[in-house]
Parts: sequence; structure tokens; C-alpha cells
Amino acid sequence: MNRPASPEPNDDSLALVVRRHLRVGWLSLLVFLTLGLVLEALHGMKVQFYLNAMNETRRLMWTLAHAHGTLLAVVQLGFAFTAHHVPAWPARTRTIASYSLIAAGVLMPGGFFLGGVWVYAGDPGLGILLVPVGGVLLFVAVLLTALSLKHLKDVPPASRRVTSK
Amino acid sequence: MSLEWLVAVLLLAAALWPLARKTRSWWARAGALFLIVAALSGGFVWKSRAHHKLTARQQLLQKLPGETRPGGYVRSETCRSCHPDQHASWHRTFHRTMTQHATPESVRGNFTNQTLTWKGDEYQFRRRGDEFFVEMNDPAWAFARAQQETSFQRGLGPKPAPLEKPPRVEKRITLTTGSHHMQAYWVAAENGNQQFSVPFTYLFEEQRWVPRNDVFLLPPDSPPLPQVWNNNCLGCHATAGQPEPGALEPGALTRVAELGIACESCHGPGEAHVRANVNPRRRYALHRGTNGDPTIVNPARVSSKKSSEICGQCHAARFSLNHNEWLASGTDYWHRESIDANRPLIPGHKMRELTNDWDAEQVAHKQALAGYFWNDGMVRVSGREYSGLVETPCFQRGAMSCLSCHSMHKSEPADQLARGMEGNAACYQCHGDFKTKLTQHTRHAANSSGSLCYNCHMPHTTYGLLKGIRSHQITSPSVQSSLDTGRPNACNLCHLDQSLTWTAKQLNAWYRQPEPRIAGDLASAPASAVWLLRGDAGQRALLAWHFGWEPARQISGTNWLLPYLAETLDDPYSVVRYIGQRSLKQIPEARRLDFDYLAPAAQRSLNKSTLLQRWSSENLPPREQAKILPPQEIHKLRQARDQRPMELLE
Repeated sequence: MNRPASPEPNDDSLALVVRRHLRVGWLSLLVFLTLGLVLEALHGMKVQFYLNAMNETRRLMWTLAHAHGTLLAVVQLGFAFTAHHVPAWPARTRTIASYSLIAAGVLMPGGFFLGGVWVYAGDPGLGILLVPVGGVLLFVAVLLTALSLKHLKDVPPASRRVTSK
Repeated sequence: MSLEWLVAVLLLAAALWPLARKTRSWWARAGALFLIVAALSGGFVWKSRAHHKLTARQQLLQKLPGETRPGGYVRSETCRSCHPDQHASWHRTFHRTMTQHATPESVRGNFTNQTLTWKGDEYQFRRRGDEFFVEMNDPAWAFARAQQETSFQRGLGPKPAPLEKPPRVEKRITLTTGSHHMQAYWVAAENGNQQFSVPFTYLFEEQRWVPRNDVFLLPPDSPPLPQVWNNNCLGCHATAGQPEPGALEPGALTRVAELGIACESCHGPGEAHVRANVNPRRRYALHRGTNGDPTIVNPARVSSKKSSEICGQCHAARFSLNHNEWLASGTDYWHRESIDANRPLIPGHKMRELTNDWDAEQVAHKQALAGYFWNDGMVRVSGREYSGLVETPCFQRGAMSCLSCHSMHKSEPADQLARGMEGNAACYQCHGDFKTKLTQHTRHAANSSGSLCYNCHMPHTTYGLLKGIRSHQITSPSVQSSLDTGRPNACNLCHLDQSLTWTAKQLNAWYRQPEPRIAGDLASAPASAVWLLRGDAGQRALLAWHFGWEPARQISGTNWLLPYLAETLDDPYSVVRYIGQRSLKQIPEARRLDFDYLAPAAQRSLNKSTLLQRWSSENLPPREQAKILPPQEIHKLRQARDQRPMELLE
């Protein structure tokens, strides 16, 4: 059976990673659900800054910010859950995946949101360029997480039983 | 660094810093660095492109009539927030695209380095990126010159100086007009937002540029139409246009509520409506109720007279009682008790008596405007449907309105006929008893074109857009009217091979109409041929179109039409030639021949004689041969042609 690699001093412990993603996940869920409420209020009050057809791009960008932010918040929670269940995941790749996912969780919804704050004749503002950067980081995080599942078999049976309760 | 850059860079740094701090692999750090550099350099490119796009748009907008007209207008973008379906259905219409900014999405003309000449002047059309240009004689100079000449002709000004060499300019195309059959283009003055017409129009079907004079029914060799959008077109091709006094002077600053015919053209200014409905409780109360919203006009909820008048703001022949007042207030329908107070309908049946009400500008056009009506006052140029409707008993004594047949939101863009109103259903709404006795009334087979109400009661007796268009003054076929006015009746527009005598006998036998006394050619010759050869330019255009009209060709046959249509190939009016050649193309013998209706006169005559030489009536069955008049008769009718100058500007 492969042993999990011993963590380097620079790598975060499993408990720290799980705690961090639980915090980030629930906090960003709070932020982006609040954004959803704000957007709904803009609809309810027919605020032209958001709804006017001239602001089509802004509406699209902010809707995407809300959707991506909320979804990525749930992914953060899923990451915490996964990390908890794969204790044999090498600390180095786990740390990289963790920070990549957090960066993606900031850059993707943040990029969409900024893209809607400044709008140029139907084109989003340059914040939109943060989105592909976030996308690459999300890809890295998801790839590393998916690869980590090969360490599932390294989890001691007792730990699996505990986990399954 | 702008705030936008600062926020984006800070966000990027905040997101990547923890990752970079924890990463010891040089590959990972290089990857992160690459992402940062790529994002920043992409940002520079993005920003500069966006800046260029924005600058180009701002430059264009500065040259256009400002969409800033006061009076509580909010523009269609605002309406869409709450009415996305209605906005979408309107967005499909040709009303919306009547006037548009010149952009790659709106421009349909061929601007790939086209060089055209007209009346000795050269025009070069070209495209650079998303912008369109024409190099031409300075239109402001040409317009000023045309004004001087007009003043001199009216005895109001000195004789213009001898013609100097016109200054050449390259102008960006600013506006487009039309998107259905053809498209016209406008360029802006140096100062203010005056828009001058480019004297070429692009025809979609033919995919060719033609001089603007050759898409209107105008006397041959008419001078170029010196059009300024601000003074004329904005009245109906924009929402609530306000020309401003001095609209024809350099530096004029015209305003509109919106370019194109938008929501507020038909629903009135929307500001109060928008303000009232910010409150969601009010909106949901209105959704549950049935009374409609008093803060906005819904043409479907007002009286038939009022809803028709809303369309009739534009779809009517009107004149200004006070042109200067119109320049100041513009299209101000929604702020007045009645549109007739300052822009009454032109009374077609009283054109000869007109009138001290007209100001000098209008009187100058009186003679031309008189040609817009048949002798009995029925309007004969398209786009004036309301003028016909108000003379119709169904409107005067019934509840008929434009919305009886048309719908702005539940229809196809071409004719905007409401769903289900393509056949007789529109008329059955009130005349339901004809459902069971249709053939008894029409004396035609039930599923034939002769049993469609509108083919007999709304024949194509108005002219516009290079074709015949249905009259919206609902009448019954009458030979007496044809004799009195020269207006072809519905029977002879379908039965192209029949004489007026034949029609009179049918109408007498079927509907007990008195048989008028008919003399001359109309008594025995096919009436359609007589009107085509001998009529005025408007009649000739209508008949040339009917010679290509499918129902008429099915009833009357096709091949015998050729020698008559050949006579249109050298007609002095270019639109008659255009329509005639289109109809000719439907005849097998002529389909492969190449006619250019704008070819020099000698070539046109040659085309005609070539066509007639190649064609022989000997192959026709005797029944069709009998419909063709002897050449000397055709020549005689041509010699008797009504040569009075005609102007039908839709």
C-alpha cells in the first residue's frame, strides 16, 4: 500500500485545507446568493442600469457572475469533502489544487462581474480576461482532484467505515 | 492606470498570490507568470480594441440626429425590460429597421470598392473595417446649389453663379433607410447633424446600385432629388422626430426620440408608464386586472377610429398647415388633441379646389400632389393607407380599423397581416353571412382567386416600391369608375384579356350595375392593354405589374402578354421599364433575355425590337392570338399615351 507523501513544511495540512475550503465555500455561497438577491431586486424594481436593452451585456455578465460564483462555492465544499475522504492525497498537489480552486472561485465570478461594471458598446470590460485565467486554474484544480482519487484505495478500511457513517 | 485596470490587476494578484507563495515548482510558477502576462497583454489588446470601437461609435453618434427629444420618451431599450416578447416581435419588423445606424449588421449594399457614375458625377463606395464610405461631390455644396436654383426659378433669389467644379469629399455613411426591398444611404454635414442622401439606392433582389431617381416614379430627366433627412424623412422614419427651425441650414441640430419606428410611435411617450411601474405591486395588480394601464396607450384597447389614426400619423397623405411650426415641434401627435389640428389629411377629392390653407412650400408641390390621387379622390400612391381607409364605409359606419387585419406583434414582417387574416377571415369578422353564400356572391369557384374578398374589393391600384399595392379604400368593381377616373377595376386587373364592355356586362348580369356607355378602344380591346399603352405613367406601372401577377396570368394566359410588355422596355419612365422587364421574365420566351432597364435609350429600343423579332404569335393558339392587337393599333395607342409628368413618391 502506498503511503501518503509526508508534507513539506510549505504544504498545508489536510485539516487546514478542509477548514479553508469549508470557510471559502460557505462564505462565497453567502456572497453570491446575496448577489442573486440583489439581481432579483434590480429586476423587481425594473432598474434600467441593469435591465435596459442597452445594458444587455451587463445583465449577462452579472448573471454569469452569480451563476459561476454560486456553483464554484458548492465546488469548494465538494473539494473539502473530497480532501477529507482522500487523506492519502499528496500534500503538494493537494495544496496546489486548493489554491487553484480558490483562485478560480475569485477570478471567474469576479471577472464576469467586472466585465459587467465597465461595458464598451456591447463588449464587456477587460475584467472578462480574468475569466479564462480562472478557467485554466479551475481546470488544474479539477484535474488534480480527479487524479487524487487514485489514492482512495490508500485509505485504511477503518477510516472508510468511519467516513461512510 | 484607470480604475478598471487597477481593480482587475488587484483581483488577479489577490487570487494568484497565495498559489504562487505555496508553489515551489518552477514550472508551476512559470505557468502562473504566463497566465498573468497573458491576462495583462490580452487586457491591453482588449482595451485598445474596445476604445477604438467606442470612439468610432461616438464619432458616428455625434453626426446623427440626437436621440434626445424631450416629451417623456424613453426608447425601446427601456420597454424591453418588461415587454420582452413585444420587443422581440417588433424587433423583427421593417418598422424598426426603417432607419438604422450604418453598421455591418444594417448595411446591405455592396461597398467593396464600387465606382458608379450618374449624370456625369462619379461615386466611389468602399468599406474600411466596420465603417462604410462614399467619395462624391460635397452633398452640402450640391444641396445649397439646388436651393439657389429653386429660389431663382421661383423668383425668390438671384441667379446662381456659373457652375464651378464641385468639391470632392469622402463621407462616412451614417444612416440607412429601408431593409425590405431596397436600401438608401445618408451622409452627414460637417457641422450639426444634417443628413444628405446619397443619390444611389441598393436593390436587394437585383443586388445592384441604381440611381435614386430610378426607384421612384418620377418624370424622366428629373433633377437629382436633393433630400435632407432632417426636414422630411424624420417625420415618419423615426420616432417623434423634431426637425428644429433651420433644419435645412448648416449646423442644424435635429432631435428624435429614437431612430426607426419604435414602440413610442404607436404607444406614445413611455416615461410616466415606466415611472409608475417601478412598483411591483402595481404591476401585478395590472397583470391580474383587465382594464389595462392608463399610463400608456395600447392601440388594441382604444376605439377603432383612434387606433387607425395612430397608424394614420404616417400612413396618410397629410400636409402641414404651418410648416415652420412643424419644424419646431416635429411629430408631436401624442401631445395634441388631434393630429388634424396642424397636419390634416390632404382631401384627395378636393385637390382641384385647393386651397388657401396651404403654405407656399406646399402650394409649390400642389400639382405634383394632385397626381397622388385618382380623379375621384382615391389615393394612388402607397404608404397612405389611412387616407383610403377613412373613405371606406366599413370604417365610417363600422368598427373596422387597421388592427382588424393587421397586427404589429402577432404577424410576419412582410405585410404584418394578423395571424389567420390572410384569406377571407378578415372580412368574415363582420360579413360572416358570406361564408355560406360565397360563390353565390362572387360567381367564382370557392377556392379561386376570384373568391378572395380583397382581390375584388381591394385591388392593387396604388403604386409604390416598384410594384402594385392593394388599395385600402374598400370599393366594389365599377366600370363607370374606371371610365371616370382611369383607375383600372379589379375585374380587368385579373381578366387582362377582356374589354371594359365585357366587364360591364358581367357586372350588370351579376350585380345589376348599370351598363355605362363605352366608346373607343376600351369598348373592344383588352382594357389592360389600353391602359398599359395609353395610360399615364402610374397606370402603365400598375398594368405592367399586373401583367406579371400570378393570379392574372393564370386566368388570362401568359404568352400573348409579350408584345404588350415589350412596349414597356422603352418607356420613358424607368420604373415602368423596371416593372415591365420583371413581368417579362415570367414569360418563357423572354426569360433568358438580358434587359437592363437603365441601359441607354438606343439599347433599350434595340432590346425591344430584338425581343419582338424573335417572338412570333404564330405559335400561339388562335384564342390567344385574338387578344393581341394589330401592330398599328398598338402604335396608335402608344401615340395617344398620356404624357403628363407624373410623380408618385411613396
